[in-house]
Amino acid sequence: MHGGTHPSSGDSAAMTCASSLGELTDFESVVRCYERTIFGFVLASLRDRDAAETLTQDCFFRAYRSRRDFRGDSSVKTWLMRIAVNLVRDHASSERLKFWRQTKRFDIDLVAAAERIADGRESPEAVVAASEKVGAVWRAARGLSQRQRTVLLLRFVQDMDILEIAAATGMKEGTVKVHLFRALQAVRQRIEAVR
Amino acid sequence: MNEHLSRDQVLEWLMGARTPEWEAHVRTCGECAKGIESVAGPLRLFSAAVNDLSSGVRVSMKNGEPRNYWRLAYWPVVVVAAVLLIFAALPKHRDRPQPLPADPAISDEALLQHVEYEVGESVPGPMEPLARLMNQESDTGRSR
Repeated sequence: MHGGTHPSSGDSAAMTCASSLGELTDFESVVRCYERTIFGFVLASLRDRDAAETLTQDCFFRAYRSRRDFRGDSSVKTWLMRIAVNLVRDHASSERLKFWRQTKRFDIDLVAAAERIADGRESPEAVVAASEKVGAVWRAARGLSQRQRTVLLLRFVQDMDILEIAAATGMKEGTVKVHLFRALQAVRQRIEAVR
Repeated sequence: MNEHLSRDQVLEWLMGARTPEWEAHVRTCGECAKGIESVAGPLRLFSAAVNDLSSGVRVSMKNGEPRNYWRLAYWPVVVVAAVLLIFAALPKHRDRPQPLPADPAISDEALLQHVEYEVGESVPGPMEPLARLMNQESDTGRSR
């Protein structure tokens, strides 16, 4: 989808999945293709593993029920992501207190995951630096508005382009660009602060 | 294009807006490539960390369709609601004044007294002419 130095989702399974209308006939394969993708987005948005599992399940259940309404205007991934974005928005607004209570634990998990990924390939100093940078990205994302965070995650965790993000969120293309630009400014500011 | 990418252009590059001139420049300019990588690298690692945390997740399926967690939770919710309703209704039921248990001895005695009273009561006023007539007839019969 994106080349060059652009970050990729790292989910190779999703990249090989078909994305056309025809694949909806075998819904279980759709689920297996995209369950990690949807879960990753919901987890990074809510920072609550239990809620992310429930919402991922709910996302696929809703998709299954409305699969006949899917006309193929967008890819299956974008269609699923639109359902997930709506679920996250509803959940975050209804459980604001719980939402913030989960923050600390997820921060620790995320930094540990970053260390696991960097470990073995880098020097100990580089591993620490890598985890600090991931922490900086995360702190920046935490400080963003929900819309800014959503477009940031869709772009850099889900590897979606501007038009796909617009389709998934219901925002206009220009609005997506503005939110993404501001989100990136905040991320760069945080990264530069840890150097 | 020989000019370096500005800080805003670096962010636009990351957003996916790339002109052929920018791409040609970045290919040959280590400084711009480094500027892009300084933001793209941590974002890539962040994405990999989120994906790492997503491993092992499994959506529950039944007969080729995703299970509905809400439907699974339906019966426990109904049972809990029923129990709560019962407990909510109990205090009201307990607070209602109950009739005192009747003492069999007292009630039998009271019933007998009532019967005796009813039987022993004099003839009511409106029935008195009829009672007198009956007495007269019985007296006449006796004198014959």
